[in-house]
Amino acid sequence: MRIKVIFFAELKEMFGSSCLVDIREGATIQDAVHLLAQSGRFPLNAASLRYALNENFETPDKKLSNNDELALMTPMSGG
Amino acid sequence: MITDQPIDLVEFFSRPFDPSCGAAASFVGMVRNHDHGCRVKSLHYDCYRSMAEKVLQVLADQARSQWAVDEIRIVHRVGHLEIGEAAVAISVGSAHRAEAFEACRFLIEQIKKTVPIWKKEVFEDGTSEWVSCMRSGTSVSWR
Repeated sequence: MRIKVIFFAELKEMFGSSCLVDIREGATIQDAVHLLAQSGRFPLNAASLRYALNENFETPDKKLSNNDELALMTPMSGG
Repeated sequence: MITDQPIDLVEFFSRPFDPSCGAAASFVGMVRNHDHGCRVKSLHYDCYRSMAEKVLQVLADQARSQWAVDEIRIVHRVGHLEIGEAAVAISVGSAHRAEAFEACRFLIEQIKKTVPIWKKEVFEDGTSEWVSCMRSGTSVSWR
């Protein structure tokens, strides 16, 4: 299956605004992060990241579906 | 609401509240010219806009369920902001003042932590930095 990963702020400056990732059926958010890390495109230590799947906050163990939009987000700093 | 246009504070605060409101508590977050001893020249806000709108709505719903408030108005600006410009404005109307103050405080604290908006400080020496990523010690490490 294929998902879209989107980036903001400093991650957007480093990786662009989005990329498409092909990943096995049943994969989780954590699997996608590992896949990006293996490709050298993403932080290995993702402890401070937050994840949103289709605009909802999710934990790393959440399973992905085809065409999902996964946002990988650094700590927020609005206000 | 998220906007890339300047926030018109006069219009924002002069809109009448529901007649049931006896109190309105308001907050404005502005761009200041310094941070951690560095001279700040301007700010740039990036935003996951569609999600930010949804999270703002969730926060307003949470405030309504927690306090007896009648009206909640929130606007957050994104894009390039100069010193002194309003970045966020909140106004909460309620029958009595305690609920309005508490809900307003709750909203700004939650907005800073949970709405997908990020600010970048541009310093007078020409450097810039995304807030909360490096200096606050919550940095992401990169391979």
